[in-house]
Amino acid sequence: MARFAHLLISGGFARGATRYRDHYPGQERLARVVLPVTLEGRMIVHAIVDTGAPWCVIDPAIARQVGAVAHADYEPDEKLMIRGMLYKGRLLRMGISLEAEQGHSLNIGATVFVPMLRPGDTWPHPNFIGLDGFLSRIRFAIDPAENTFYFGPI
Amino acid sequence: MNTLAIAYALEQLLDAEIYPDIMPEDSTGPRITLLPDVWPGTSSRVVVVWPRSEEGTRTLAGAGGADAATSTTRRDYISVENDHQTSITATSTPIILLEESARAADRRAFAALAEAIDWSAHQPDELTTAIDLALSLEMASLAIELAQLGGRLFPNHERVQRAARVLAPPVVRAVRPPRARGLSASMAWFDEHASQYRGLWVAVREGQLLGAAVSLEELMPVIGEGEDAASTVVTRVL
Repeated sequence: MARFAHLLISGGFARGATRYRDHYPGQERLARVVLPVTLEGRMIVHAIVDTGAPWCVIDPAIARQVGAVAHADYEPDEKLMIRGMLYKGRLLRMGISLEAEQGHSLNIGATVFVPMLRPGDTWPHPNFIGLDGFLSRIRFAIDPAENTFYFGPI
Repeated sequence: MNTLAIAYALEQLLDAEIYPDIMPEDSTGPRITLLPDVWPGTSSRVVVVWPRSEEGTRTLAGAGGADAATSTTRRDYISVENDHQTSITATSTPIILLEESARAADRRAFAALAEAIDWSAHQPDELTTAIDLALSLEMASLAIELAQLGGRLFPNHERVQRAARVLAPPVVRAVRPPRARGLSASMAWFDEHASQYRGLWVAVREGQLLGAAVSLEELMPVIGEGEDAASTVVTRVL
């Protein structure tokens, strides 16, 4: 059991806790906080916690398979800056769940950016959990000593 | 909108001391004329002189009341003794300023303008332009704020309503017991084996590899549906 699970969960700060990974699969040299998240209740993916990103960003291939592309969306006339590059894409609402290994999981209605790629192109970046689109409405805490991510609703 | 703020901004922009530096030497170069005692909302014309335009010249009526208040962003020209003047309504100028501050990546000015503009006096397309510019400037909170305001102001405008639905604060929908089977084991599998599958999509359930493929579509049959899919960790190894 995570060391502070009882304190944070019984104290009302968090409802769940999960172990996070230090790097995204395939990027072993880049230190990150990587969580397992469920998209639309249909698939678990790795996602980097990024408080510097305004929106969640999901690989368009994944968004297509979980059925998110059928959702009502908003397509800005301007390109958005994602990881230092400008991309056309759509913003849409998606259900994203933080999966708990202790306590309860949390399902959030989040705003997600899904890039538009040219035919044949693959998304070269990880998935991200961003601030304004997700993290701003939860409490979360990190314990690097145990690689534990605590989370709960505000 | 704070009319004093608009007037002050216009006076700063139209400061005649600035323009001598950019006036061309010929007689048809730009010239500034400010109407005396002009306050946005009462008399709606501010006259700015721009270089000659091929579109020809005419003038907008001043103090046009409702007509001026609902005019779209456009520039019209008047020819007076070979000089050319542009009339920009007080309601259209803030949008121009907004676009210019976005082009200059001046987020402070952009935010101040966007928050000060009376969007109920503007067209919904102008609001969506502001939303898109805020998004391009990575000003997500402002984009959300504008979208929510637009949702209230323009209930019948489809694009604004889409923006309001999508650009909303995140919402906690449910707190539930965990459903994914063997999640820890699956994540541990990726820790140990992912580097062997670079560039491939990989699916793992309860710590067991289900398959690896070049495309996610190829993996979908092994991922399955329902509870099986909800317990499957899928990632493209970078």
